Amino acid sequence: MRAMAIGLVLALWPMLGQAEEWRALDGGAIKAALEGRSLDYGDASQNFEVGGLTVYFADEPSTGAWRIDGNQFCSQWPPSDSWTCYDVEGKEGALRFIAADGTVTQGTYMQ
Amino acid sequence: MTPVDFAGQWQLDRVVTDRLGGQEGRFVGAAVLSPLGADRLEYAETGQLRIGSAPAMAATRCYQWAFQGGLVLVAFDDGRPFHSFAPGIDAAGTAHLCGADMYRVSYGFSAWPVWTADWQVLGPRKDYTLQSRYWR
Repeated sequence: MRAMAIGLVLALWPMLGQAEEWRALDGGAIKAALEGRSLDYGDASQNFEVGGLTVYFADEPSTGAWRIDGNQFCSQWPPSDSWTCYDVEGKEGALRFIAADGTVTQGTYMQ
Repeated sequence: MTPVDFAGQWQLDRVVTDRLGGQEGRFVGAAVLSPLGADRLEYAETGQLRIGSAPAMAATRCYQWAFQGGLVLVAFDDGRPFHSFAPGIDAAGTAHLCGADMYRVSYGFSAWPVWTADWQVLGPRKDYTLQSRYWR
């Protein structure tokens, strides 16, 4: 993924075709999967701090906020004050975020 | 239209308008439709999605297209049915209900080889549109 952005619940695309091993995560599982962890997206990475801060590292770092809303991951990137929410699926060592337009961004744990 | 007309690479520009959140996103990338036999194509898109002031993120999605009876039957990449549409005809595709959320699509081919797919998504917590434009 690259930065999970803004906006209120941008809700998600109807269930993506999921490889068998991917499983949808509920809010508690998403929090446990992200808190204090970092994901590698190949061309970028992102930290998810325990206090709700998130830093996305690409050409230059971007700092935002993250939280759980129901069973979704949400993030906010200043100057916007809106939250955007994503479904999250996981499998061993990897997570994927499903955006409103149905596209998927996949990351693997860095630690 | 046949699979041959769609096969190959298309440039793709998609505007995401979130009416509830009051913000806009944009996906810019490419879609590649690859033959999977005589009447089937694999649809794979890759690109960058940026929503509001967020950094752009790399994103992908995949579908399966099956040409049957003058329609394209679109399925998720695990084979579950999604919707269908009449290729070459400016018309709505079939709607897709996912839980309480209704997904409606309208395809446009009048400017071929530029074509469009416009989605409207409505549900208890969803109200957004996706406007996708494809060209070679």
